[in-house]
Amino acid sequence: MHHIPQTLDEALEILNNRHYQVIAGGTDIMVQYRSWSETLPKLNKPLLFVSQIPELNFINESDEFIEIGACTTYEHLLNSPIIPKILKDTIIDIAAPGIRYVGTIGGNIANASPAADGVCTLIALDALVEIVSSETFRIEKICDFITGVKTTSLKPNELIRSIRIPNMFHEHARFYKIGGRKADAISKVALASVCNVSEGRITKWRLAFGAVGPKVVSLPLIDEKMVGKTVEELKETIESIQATYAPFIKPIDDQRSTAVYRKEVALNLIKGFIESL
Amino acid sequence: MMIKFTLNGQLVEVSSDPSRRLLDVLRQDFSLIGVKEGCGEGECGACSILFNHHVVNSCLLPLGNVMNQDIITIEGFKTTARYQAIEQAYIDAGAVQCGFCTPGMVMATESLLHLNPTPTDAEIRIALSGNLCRCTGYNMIVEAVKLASERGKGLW
Repeated sequence: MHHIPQTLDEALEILNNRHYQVIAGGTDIMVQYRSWSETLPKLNKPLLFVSQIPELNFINESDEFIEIGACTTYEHLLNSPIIPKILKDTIIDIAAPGIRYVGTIGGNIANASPAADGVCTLIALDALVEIVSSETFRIEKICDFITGVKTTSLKPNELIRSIRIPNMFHEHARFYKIGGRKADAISKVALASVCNVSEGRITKWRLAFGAVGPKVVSLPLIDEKMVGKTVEELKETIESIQATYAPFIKPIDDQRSTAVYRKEVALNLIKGFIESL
Repeated sequence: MMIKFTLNGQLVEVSSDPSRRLLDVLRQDFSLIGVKEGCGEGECGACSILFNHHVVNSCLLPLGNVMNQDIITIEGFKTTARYQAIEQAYIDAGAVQCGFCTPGMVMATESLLHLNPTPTDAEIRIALSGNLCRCTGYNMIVEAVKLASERGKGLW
């Protein structure tokens, strides 16, 4: 029995009773479970519709965070003045207007595709996921929340309530997507890159690679090694920086691209970002 | 489950499974066959409708997400002056060949001009980027949108 709850409390209460497939915009689920034309999707659990719950649709800004309700659509984010430019640049590369109007940021995260462009940028921005159940509340880094291909730490009675992005200005923040075409393409490779420089030295450095592993590849310990260097030092040592990241970029062959191509392009994107500084 | 929504200006109620695709509901329950099924996975845009006056692929919309929302199909839109301007522009620009993609293209055109009555070429191409056409090579469709925008001053 499917449910269309009107409030967050009602949704969380329903989730306590049995297992549901939570559905927000539906742009992934309706494809994953699609069956023959004119027939119902082949679901293995009833649906819990959350896209119209008002408590999950909001964008707030505080000194500390930009907080986005899980069911906020990509189109809504594109039109908001407080969303960071790199996230908007990412969204413009996701799907097409008709899908962005219903596809949600929380759905993109919960779906946990290794090629999710939005997740890539959110990880580079050190975003946090706020998770609720009727009894509990927890906050997890998005890179920990996603545990593997299509898997997350979300328990059957939990929902993502919001995504929190630290409210910081980034001097250099770029999203690179390599896909078969500009619209409606799932990434072959993606890189979200963030860098701050103060008095000529790197103060923050974050790279997050999409579609090159079972989850978005984020390597904070390697990123940390760039801090303190000058931009010139980075530019002079591009090859050794690429070599530091290379062992952790382990893509596969699939219908969209090959492992060899993906790896080479991912490393070239690092070079491209450093050269753009 | 009983789902209420507005369809082409009229309040309707459907007693059906909320996991059903809006595409199937429109074609089967309401005989609105201007809504086409192409790919069935959000790639081609042939099933585009206006959801709260924004283009959306109806093959990806479960009926449950349509509750209390406003849906317009090509059949509802064709009675408007805006439609007349878009139709004539498509005819004059040679933007229709086999016609299968055309209802979706018209929905995407209306969705764009409603928000942005004087779009640039680049904005038109982004607005139509979710709609595939196997015949025209797209340039004529982009021309048609420009023509509709120029001729339809005041309509949007």
